[in-house]
Amino acid sequence: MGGADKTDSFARPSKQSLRAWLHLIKCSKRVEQTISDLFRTRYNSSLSRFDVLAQLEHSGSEGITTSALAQGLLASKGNITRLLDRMISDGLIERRPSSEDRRVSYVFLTAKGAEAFHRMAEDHEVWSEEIFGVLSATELEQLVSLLDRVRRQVDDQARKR
Amino acid sequence: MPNDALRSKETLRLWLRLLPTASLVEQELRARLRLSFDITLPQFDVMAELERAGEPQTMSELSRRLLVSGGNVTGVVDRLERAGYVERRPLPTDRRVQLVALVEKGRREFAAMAAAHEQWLTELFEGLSLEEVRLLNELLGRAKAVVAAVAAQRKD
Repeated sequence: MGGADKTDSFARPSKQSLRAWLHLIKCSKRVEQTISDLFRTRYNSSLSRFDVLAQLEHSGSEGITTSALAQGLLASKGNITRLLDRMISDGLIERRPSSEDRRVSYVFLTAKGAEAFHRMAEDHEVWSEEIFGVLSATELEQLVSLLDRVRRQVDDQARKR
Repeated sequence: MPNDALRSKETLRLWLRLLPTASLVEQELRARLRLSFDITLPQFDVMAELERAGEPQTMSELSRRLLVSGGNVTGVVDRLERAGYVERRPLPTDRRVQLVALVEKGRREFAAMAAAHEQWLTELFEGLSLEEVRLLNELLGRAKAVVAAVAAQRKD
């Protein structure tokens, strides 16, 4: 941060930050709610389920531990154990104990789960495009980078606290 | 990469940033409210709503504004009442309807909380210049405006 930024932050009306926060939380909650509703009406599923499927798809054949999975979830967490149990009984995922340490279990995507994920991912992409389509490519990039910087700043402050 | 694929990759990146950034800031605010004022974020939000409205509100008004379930608001108001920040009063024209009012102690405490909350947000967004905060506001505002339209259109 250069000297110019320092001066700026003193002169900044704090209302702008408050507004930024309100925009951020409302935008995020609305997007989350909308996509969640769409998954429910279309697939009788949820954003949390999609979130789990996406992470398992990403982790590939190695699977992922329940705690690592919980940590990476984007949407509101809720009761992860119950969520995974229901997804297991629906045949979307399966749980296997680690061959090295039987107290640890890994979660994997089943073929049915992978298929469900791909169908949902296609729709997710279409819906996201409808929502963020109001922004140009440059604006999308700007927004991503601004959010990244907010995140770093908050991380720093949380560590200092 | 063709333009469409590039775009959808960038949209996905935004999606992967938006929710986590919002929850990170939210977590930090929760932690600070708890440490400094021993209060939860929903409790703070209910007080903010009462202060903003400037008059007692019904439970259903509060719950609609806060987008949480009625059951949640009941618990939140119970705890605020126990802390001596709000009180429940029956609506004069219909005693079956309960109003929630901010009392003097609540108003005083809320003023202190709101000032701290604003100060924290200034700190949390300090990584951006004023111009960048404005840009962030504008972009999020535009995205926020279309979400509702998309939801309505898709429901048909």
